[in-house]
Amino acid sequence: MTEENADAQSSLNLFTQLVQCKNLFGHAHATLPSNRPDNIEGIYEVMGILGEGSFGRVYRCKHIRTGEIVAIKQIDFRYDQNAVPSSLIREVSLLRELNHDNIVRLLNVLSTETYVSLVFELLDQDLGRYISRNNGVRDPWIRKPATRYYRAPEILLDSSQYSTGVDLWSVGCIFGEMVTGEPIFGTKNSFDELDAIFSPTDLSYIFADLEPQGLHLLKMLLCLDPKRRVSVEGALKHAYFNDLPDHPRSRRYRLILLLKSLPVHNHLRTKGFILKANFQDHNDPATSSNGRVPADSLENVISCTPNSLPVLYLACSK
Amino acid sequence: DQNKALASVSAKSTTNVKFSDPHNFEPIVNDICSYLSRMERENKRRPMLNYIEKVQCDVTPHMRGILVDWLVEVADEYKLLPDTLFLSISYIDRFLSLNPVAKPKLQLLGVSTMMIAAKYEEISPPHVEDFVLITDNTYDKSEVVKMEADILKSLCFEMGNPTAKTFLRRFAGIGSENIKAKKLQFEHL
Repeated sequence: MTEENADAQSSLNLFTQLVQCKNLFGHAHATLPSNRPDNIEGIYEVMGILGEGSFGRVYRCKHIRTGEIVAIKQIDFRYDQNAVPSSLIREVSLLRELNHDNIVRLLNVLSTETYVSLVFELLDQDLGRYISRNNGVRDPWIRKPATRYYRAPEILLDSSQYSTGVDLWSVGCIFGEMVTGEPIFGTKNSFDELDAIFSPTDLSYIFADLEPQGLHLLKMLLCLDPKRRVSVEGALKHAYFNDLPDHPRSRRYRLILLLKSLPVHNHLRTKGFILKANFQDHNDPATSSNGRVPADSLENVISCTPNSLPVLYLACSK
Repeated sequence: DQNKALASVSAKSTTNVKFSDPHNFEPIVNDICSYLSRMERENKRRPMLNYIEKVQCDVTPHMRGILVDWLVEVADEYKLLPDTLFLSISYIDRFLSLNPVAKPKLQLLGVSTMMIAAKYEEISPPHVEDFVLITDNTYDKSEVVKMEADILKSLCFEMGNPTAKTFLRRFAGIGSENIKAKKLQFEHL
């Protein structure tokens, strides 16, 4: 298949890429105008800044006519060589389709030639606090989490030729998080992320609670070289899953569901399809109290990489 | 009805599928089919049937035909996926259902929709400059970028619709008994 050939061509020395990447990060951030606007498109009054990231800013705003309080994420692409970024087109198209209690609602999109304002419902403080406590997610008000935690090294290293292996890496990260209760590569920015990924660590020490077979699978999922990383088929055949059926809420069972929900081949994907893998038990008071995501559950993850079907992983309770 | 027909074809298809095709993967294939066909029927993702008469003053069916033929060549030139071409044409019809376009701007609309579709669909989409170049510099970069913004705004950033190609791939897969026949190319129908 062509993707595999492309993969083979891209097998540059990871270290060389890391060095290039470090140089890249030095210049990457476009500076934002220091003053915040009084209003957005004359429709919303800006009340304060909620967050800031390399993409732009998030403002707390009030609809001038209705008084509705919202969060507006402004994405600035005026310095982008190719105008509207593809990630933005994909993200907004997807959010437009999503309608679920566990996903922040996109209320409106205001666009100009140089920036786009995404109007989101403003989430309650509790959830915001929970996510910000969870090791420095930049954007606590938007329930789209920093998927950076689950980003494969080849993406962080800016490879243009990455393939379906990036999803397996993400599964590995989520698997690890199921064990430890926190993002395993959770750091402040992509730069630290790479340091965390490349720092020599003994997984068997960190995941001492995990069964030996589980640890073996985890190591196969978190293989740095995408070509040597385990495939979905390989992972599903792993001995860790031998003694299924298991309890539907067990780690093993949820991991299998996650693996089975993955797209396997890019050119076979069907556009516009959203897979909802909901592992949360709505009748369980521990997970559905007040409609809030419980503090001990994984965050909602929207994975929308260019190379994979948009897959939605809803909260997995621990 | 349509739903039942879809359900029965997908049920049949599950008998000899390969695991590596996620869209024929048994536990989810029916969900995919019904989601996509429901999405296809949404009014906001469909063009008007009579937009040439109702909305356009300048554009004729013949001109649309020429534009589509040219876009087929653009897709071929830049080795774009067939999905990109199909998406691009669906954006054109949706945009023309909402906005009258003057004849000299029709090609600009075509090239900008192709750029959006490529950004949505391709792993490495061509650059803005490539799209300017393919029009033989009829338009400049700022015009292509401005049109891109206008299209996204007009279509409310809802760029993820299934196309005929989406379903064709599925039906071709179901209809073929062996893997070789499945590789038949439908791109140039």
